[in-house]
Amino acid sequence: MLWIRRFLLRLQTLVRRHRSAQLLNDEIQFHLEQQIAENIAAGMTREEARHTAMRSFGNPTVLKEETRDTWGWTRLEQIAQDLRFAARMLRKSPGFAWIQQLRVLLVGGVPLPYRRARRRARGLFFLAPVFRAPSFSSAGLFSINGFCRQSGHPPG
Amino acid sequence: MGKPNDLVQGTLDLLILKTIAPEPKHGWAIAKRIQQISRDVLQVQQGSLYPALHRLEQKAWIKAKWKETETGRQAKFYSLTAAGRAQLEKEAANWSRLSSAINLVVETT
Repeated sequence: MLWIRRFLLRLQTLVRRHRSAQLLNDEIQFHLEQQIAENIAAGMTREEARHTAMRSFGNPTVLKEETRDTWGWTRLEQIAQDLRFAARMLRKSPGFAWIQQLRVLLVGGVPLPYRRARRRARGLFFLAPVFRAPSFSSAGLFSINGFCRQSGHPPG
Repeated sequence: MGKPNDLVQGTLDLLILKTIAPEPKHGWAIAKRIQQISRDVLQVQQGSLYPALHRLEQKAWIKAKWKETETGRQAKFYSLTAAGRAQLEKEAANWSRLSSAINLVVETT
C-alpha cells in the first residue's frame, strides 16, 4: 500500500520535524566534509578545498529550505494559518463574515462600487433577502478575499 | 556542460533511481557516480540532489537508512524500494522512447 507508506512518511516529518531538520543538517554536513576531504586529497589547501566544495554544492540554506518543502507541510502550515485567521474573523462577526464569503463566492472578490454590487446582487434573487438584512447596511459591503472594510458607509 | 537547471526534474529522478539501483549510496556518492559515469558531462549541482532525494523518499520510491561508512562516519544511505524499481523501469522506458524520438528528428535530413 504505497499511499499508506507515503502518509506515514509524511507524518514522520511532521511529528519529528526538528529531528528531521537536524538529520538534514547532518546529511549535508557529511556531504560537504566528504567533498572537502576529496579536494584536500587532490592537493588543495584546507581553505581552497572548503571554498570549492561550497561552490560545487550551491547555497546550503536555500537547498535545505527546498528540501524541507518536499516534506509537504509548508503549504499545509500556510493553510492552517489561513484557517485560524478565518476562524478568528468568523467568531468576531459570524453573520457578516459568512455573507462576505458568499459574496466573494458569487459576485467575485473584486471591490465594486456599492450600487453595481447591489444591482448584481439583485440579479441573484435568492440572495436578495440577505443583502437587505439590516445588519448589512451599516457595515462595509466590500471585501478583498475576506478582508473586511468596516469603517463608514460604502461609497457611491 | 549540463548544469542542474538544464536537467529536467524527471531526468534527475531517473539518474538518481538508476544510480542507487545496484547498491545503496549516500548523497555525495550519488553525485560522484553520476558525474563519473557520464564522463563529467553531467555536472549535477551537488546540493540540488537533496531536494530530489527527499522528494523521492516521500514518494516511497527510495528509502533511507543511516549507516556507518568505511571511514566510520554516519551517513544516510538511499536504496530503491519495490515501487522505486517499478518507477525506474517506467522512467527508463519513457526516456529511451523520448531520446530515440528526438534522435530521429535530429538525424533526419
